[in-house]
Amino acid sequence: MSGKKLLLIGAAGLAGFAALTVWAINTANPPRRTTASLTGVAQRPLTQLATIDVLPLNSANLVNLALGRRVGDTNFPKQVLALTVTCDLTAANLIIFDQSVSNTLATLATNLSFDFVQSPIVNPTIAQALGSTNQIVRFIARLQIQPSGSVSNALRGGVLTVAGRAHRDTVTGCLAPVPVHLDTDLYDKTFLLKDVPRQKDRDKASLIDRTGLAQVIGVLDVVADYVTNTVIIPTGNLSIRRSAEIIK
Amino acid sequence: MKVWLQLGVMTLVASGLLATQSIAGTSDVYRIQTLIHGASQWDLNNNPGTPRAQASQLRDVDLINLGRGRSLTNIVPANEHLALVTQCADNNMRIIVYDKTTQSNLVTLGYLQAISVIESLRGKRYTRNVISELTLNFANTNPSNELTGGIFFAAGSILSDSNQCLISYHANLIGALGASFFFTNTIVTNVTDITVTNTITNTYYVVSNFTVNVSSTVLTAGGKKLGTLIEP
Repeated sequence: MSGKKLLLIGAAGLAGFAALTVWAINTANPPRRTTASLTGVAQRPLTQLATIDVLPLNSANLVNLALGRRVGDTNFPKQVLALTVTCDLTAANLIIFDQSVSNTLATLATNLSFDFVQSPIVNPTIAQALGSTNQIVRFIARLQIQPSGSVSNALRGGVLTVAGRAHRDTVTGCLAPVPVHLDTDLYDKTFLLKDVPRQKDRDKASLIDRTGLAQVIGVLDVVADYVTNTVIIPTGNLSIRRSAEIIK
Repeated sequence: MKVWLQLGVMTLVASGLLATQSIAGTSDVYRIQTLIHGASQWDLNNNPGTPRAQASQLRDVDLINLGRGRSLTNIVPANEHLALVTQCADNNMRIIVYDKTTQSNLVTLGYLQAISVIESLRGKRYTRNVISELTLNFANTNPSNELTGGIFFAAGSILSDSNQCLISYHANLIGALGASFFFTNTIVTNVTDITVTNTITNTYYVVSNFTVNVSSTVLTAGGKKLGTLIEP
C-alpha cells in the first residue's frame, strides 16, 4: 500500500471518528425541536399616516428567512427550528436543523446570557415516570440573532429574550423531554407559558414528549421580498419538544 | 362679541395644551403599578444536591424599599411613590422613587432605553410599540436585603395624545435580578415566602448567589400625573 493511500485511509478514519464524536455529542444532548408562535408588529411602509401591521410568525417563517427563502415557503418541512442548551446550563442557541440528514444548517441566534434557577420535582408520580429526570429549570436566555439569508429574504439581526421552564436529567445535566401529560406546572399561567397549537405552527410529529415551554419577546431586523423592516415581538410562545433528530 | 368668543375658545385650547405638554426642562411623573412574578434560587450552598426554586413576588413598595436601601418589611412613607418619568415624544423613560411632598426624585432605580419603536396614529392618538432594555440598580445599604438589581427586556406600548405626551404605558418585562444574602435567618417574606430554620449546628442559614428569575412582570403607568420633575 502506498503512503498516499495510507494517508487517505488515515484521513478517512479521522473523519469517521470526528463524525462519530459529533454523533455522540448529538445523541447525549440533541437539539430540541422547537415550535413557535410569535406576534410581530412592524411599521407599514409607504403610508402617509403611521400604521402598524400585525404579523404572526412561526418557526417555519423564521427558518425560511434565515435560509434566504420567502416567508411562506413550504418546500422544506424537514428543516426545522431547534433549541440547544449546554448540559452545564451556561448557554442556549437557536439553530436550524435538517431532520433529513440530522445536521445543523445554520445558527439563527447565539447566546448572550443564560440565567437559571433549579428545583427538584416533588411529585413522586412524575419523578418515577421520568426515570433519571427529576429536576425542573427556570431560565432566562438572551439571544443575539445572527445575520443570515439572501438579498431578497433574510434576518439581518435583532435580539430575543426567552424565559421558560424545562425538565433536566439529573445524571447528565442536559435538558430532557418528558411525556406531555406530565409536563404541567402550577405557575404556567403566571409566567404566561402555553403550548403552541398545531394551527399556529405545524409539527410533523405527534406531540408525545415535551422538554418545556417558554415565552419570548424581542426585535428582528427582517428582509422580506427585498423590503427591509424592523419587527417587534411584544409577545410569543415557544414549545420545546423532543429531540430534533427523531422523526416519527 | 363673536371675536371675544373666538378668543375665549383659543385661550381654552392654549391652556389645555399647557396642561398636557411638559414644560421645557421638566418631565412628567406618573405612578407605576407593578407586580413582579419570579422564581428564586435558595438552599444552594447548604444542600448542593437538592437546590430549590421558589415562586417569588415583588410589589411596587418592595422596589421602593430596595431602591432606598431599606428592609423590605419597612412601611413605605405615604409621600414616596414608584414613578415613571417621561417627556413628550421621548421613548426613553426612567423609573424613580418620587417624593410627592417635595416633588423631587429620591432615587433613580433604572432607565428604560428604547431599542426599537414602531408607531401608529389613529385619530388623535399615537400608539408606540417599544422594545426597551431596563437596567435596575438597587441601593445596597442593607446586607440582609441585598438584591443588587438586574437587566430586563420590556415589550411596552405607549399610548399618547396628539402632542405625543403620555396617556398610558403598559409593558411586559422579562429578565433576571441578582442578589446575595449573608448570615440571615429572616429572609424577607415579601420576596420568597421562605421559612428559614437554623441548621443543626445552630448557625445562621447562609444563602448566597440568590437569583430571582423574573419571567412575567406587568408594569403600568398613566392616568393622572403625580407631578412634574425639574430636570437639572
